[in-house]
Amino acid sequence: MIKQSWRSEILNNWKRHIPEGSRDILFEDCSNKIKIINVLRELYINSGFLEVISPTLEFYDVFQGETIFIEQEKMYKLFDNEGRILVLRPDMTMPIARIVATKLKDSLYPMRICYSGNIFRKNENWNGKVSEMTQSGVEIIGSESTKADAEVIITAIQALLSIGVRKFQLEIGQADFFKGLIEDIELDFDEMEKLRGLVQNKNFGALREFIEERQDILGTKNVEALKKLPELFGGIEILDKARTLTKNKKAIAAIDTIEKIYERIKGVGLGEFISIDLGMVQHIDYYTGIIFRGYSSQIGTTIISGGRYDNLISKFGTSMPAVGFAIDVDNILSVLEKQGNNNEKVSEKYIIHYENHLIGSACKFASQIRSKGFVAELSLFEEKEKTLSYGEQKKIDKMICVLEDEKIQIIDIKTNKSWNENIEEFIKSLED
Amino acid sequence: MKAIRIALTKGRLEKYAIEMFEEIGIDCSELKNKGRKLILKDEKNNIEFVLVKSTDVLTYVEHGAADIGIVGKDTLMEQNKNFYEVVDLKVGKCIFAVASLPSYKSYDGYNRKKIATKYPTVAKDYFKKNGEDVEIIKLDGSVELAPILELSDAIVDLVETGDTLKENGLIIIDKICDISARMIVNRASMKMNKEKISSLIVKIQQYVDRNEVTVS
Repeated sequence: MIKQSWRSEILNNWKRHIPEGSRDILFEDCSNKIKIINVLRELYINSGFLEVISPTLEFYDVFQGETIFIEQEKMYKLFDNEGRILVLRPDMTMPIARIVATKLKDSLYPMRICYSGNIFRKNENWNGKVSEMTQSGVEIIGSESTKADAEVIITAIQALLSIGVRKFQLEIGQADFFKGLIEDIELDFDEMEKLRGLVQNKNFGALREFIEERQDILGTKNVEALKKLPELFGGIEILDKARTLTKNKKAIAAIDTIEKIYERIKGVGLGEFISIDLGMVQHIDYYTGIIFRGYSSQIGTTIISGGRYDNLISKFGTSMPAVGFAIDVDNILSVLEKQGNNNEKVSEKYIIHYENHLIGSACKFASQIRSKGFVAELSLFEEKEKTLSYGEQKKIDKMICVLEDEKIQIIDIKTNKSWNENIEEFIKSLED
Repeated sequence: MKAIRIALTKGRLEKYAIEMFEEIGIDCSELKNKGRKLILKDEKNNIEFVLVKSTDVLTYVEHGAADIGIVGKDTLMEQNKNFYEVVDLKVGKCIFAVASLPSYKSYDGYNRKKIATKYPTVAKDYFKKNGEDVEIIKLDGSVELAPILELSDAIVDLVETGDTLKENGLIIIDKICDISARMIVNRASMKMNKEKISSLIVKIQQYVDRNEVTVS
């Protein structure tokens, strides 16, 4: 006997566990998560976005390419029965680019697309990070206009507001600002990457030294702007400051674009949520225009990210401009939890006890309660006492026993008071 | 208003950090007489300090549990994590180096070299860049012992004065890079708390520049 259970313990080592980085989401957390996803979906769909679901398993090749920034170490890979490499999708945008370039190439554009789904990334163990994340986002495909940029950002702000995120900032940058500044500079790839890294990490001192050491190569043009680049973040006034630092056409055009978009957002009355960071230079080959990231004061990571990537879809064979964002739903959940969003009213809960032969009226009665927006569950116990004690432990407000002739007995579980009523009267009283 | 929380690396860098923060007008009296307290406050400036191990500084700052961290470049290089690296504090200086017995040759037959180190990522990146195929053995301390006991052909380690190497008959084969202490900032904190953090960065940068002038 003992030997047997020892054997099964060895054979089923991980039977009662889940992998590091994954998690079970239960009850209230689960409902909250789905509620967020649904509120977001409704907002997108009501704004004219069309919903898509792409497969969880995709070919590795979809996520492979020069301008794609997901390292292969971060992808979960497996093989199909023909030996081809599959991955659990590490991103939602690339599959949409694939769909647009293949199935939707003759559709009506501009097109608005929205999605919600899970992405998978391998993380270091014991790092407090999850490997399966839910993203909810939109893409506007086929429009180069700053109207599309502005709509995406406005939708992003409205989305965050609609799910109750309170203190947040959406930070806008423009890939072309940096690209403009380095246009005339001749540095090899490694050196350029070093420069970009120093800007991205706001490595003020080291950037200054890097530039001063290479004065001969870098010349004097745009050098001051490059040195100042990590500091160019903050309020909208940063744009004026940036304008004085360079004469490069591309860089100036980048500032103009941000200004234009900002004016639109301000026009909608959402200007207070916007800040600027011209030093956002990550994934510079991927983004071709605006870049934005959203931060909350509650957590240390981004809650939303997005931008314009006009070259991505062409990697799949059809050229089409695109701009979009993805909200990290799991991070939003931690923000809401830390914010303490308990202002939602909790509706009363009922447990209904009935004798077996009264199941018909019990079911009908329960449906009537539910249709008024309350929670009603049928008791699974035969004895009243058991139902009562279960209700007590589950913090249900009232226990209702269904009696003959459309009558009921109501027991207030907290006060233990009880009284009789007609079903009809009771349902009517729920309306007030 | 939420306090700015700063994670300091325990030990060697602690002293430098306290000196620096005091110099720029932060009250470090709790920090200096910490007793058993874990969070040490400067109520007036609304700043909190925590003292943790170097690798944990990165973890706290990356997650935003601390806004700012003071940590060695060696730790930053070993762990690939996301944050702003804003100031080189120019203290706690040392180098990463390959060291071994004087008989070591980097190209010596076709045998794969064994390298012992506390910093496997740094070692791996260095040899990858040099196109050398090596086997890395991770140790947790007294790495100098490895070549002497013939566990490895060479080591990759932090070298401050070189005394430990010399005493054990080891020499530096190649310098990998310079190391010093850095100030790092969580990305979200930098944005949501710009005023306070920027002014700290400016003050610290000025302090570093001032000190550099007096040293040289």
